Amino acid sequence: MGENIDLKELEKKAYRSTFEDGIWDIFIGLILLAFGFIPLGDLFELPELLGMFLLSLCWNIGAVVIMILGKKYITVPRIGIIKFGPKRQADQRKLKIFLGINVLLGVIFLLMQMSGIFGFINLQGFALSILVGIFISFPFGVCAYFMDFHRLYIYAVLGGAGFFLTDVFRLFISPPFSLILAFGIIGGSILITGMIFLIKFIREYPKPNKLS
Amino acid sequence: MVSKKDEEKKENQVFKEPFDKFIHEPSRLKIMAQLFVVEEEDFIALKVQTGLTWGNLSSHITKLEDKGYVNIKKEFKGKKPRSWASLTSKGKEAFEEYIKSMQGFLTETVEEKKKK
Repeated sequence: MGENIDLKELEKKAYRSTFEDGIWDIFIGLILLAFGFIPLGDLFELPELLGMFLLSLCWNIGAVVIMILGKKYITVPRIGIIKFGPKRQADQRKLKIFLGINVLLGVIFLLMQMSGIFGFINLQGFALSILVGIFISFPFGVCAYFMDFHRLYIYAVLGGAGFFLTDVFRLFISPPFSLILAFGIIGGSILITGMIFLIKFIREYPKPNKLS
Repeated sequence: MVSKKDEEKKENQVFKEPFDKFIHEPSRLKIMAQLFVVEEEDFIALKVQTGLTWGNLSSHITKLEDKGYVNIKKEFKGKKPRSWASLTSKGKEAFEEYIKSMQGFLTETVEEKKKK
């Protein structure tokens, strides 16, 4: 069934070409960088959690805007648009449902945290870092599966390792710089990877002329 | 004694086109295969994925459209035109038939070679 295998490969190649632009990498890098900037929420002179929430919300909206504009003005004019078959469309729907549930759970978790309902849980140190890491890695991993985007598995692990790395850095550097440094390294390296992919992409696919 | 008619029949079988020659042309085969694995794509994507030049793509896609294998849809987003290409059901059937014929042809050839 050589032809079948080749056709599958052809579809995969077409699908994966949508990740060649590095814009998803830049987006994820920015999201992870946001974790490092969370302590700067204090600057707003608002209650601590609200300040953090507003800062990360604004930052994440910025990341989404960058991704949308990048796709619209860089990717689409260069490699066009492909509408994939029913299986990919079903995966996209499942991903949207999963992300919707995830956002909802995140908001509920934040509200519960603000109300102090988790006060009885006495998790500290590396155990807490690992637990938070799982909460970060899991959704990223699920996204990687539904998106069939293999680099995202690595980013899921790196993102999950962020708070663990913060605890390691805390042995040498005082907070909040340990958090800024840990997520700065992780988010920054993903961001740089994305930029390298983007430069390669722009070089490889110049904007086609108006003949199209 | 083999009759002349039988000999002609045998010759026809040997030189019979085992697959759709229209699809077998490399550029058209690339376009058909690409459109077979997706629902639809615009011309820019088709050009990038097949590696064809604009001229080649345009001429072959017109031939495929004339044959009824490909459907071309044009739309405007603001002032910018965008052309979408997809396989028609006739095109899908023809491509599936082409794949089957190719598989059969190749299997037969390999088996015959093994026997020899």
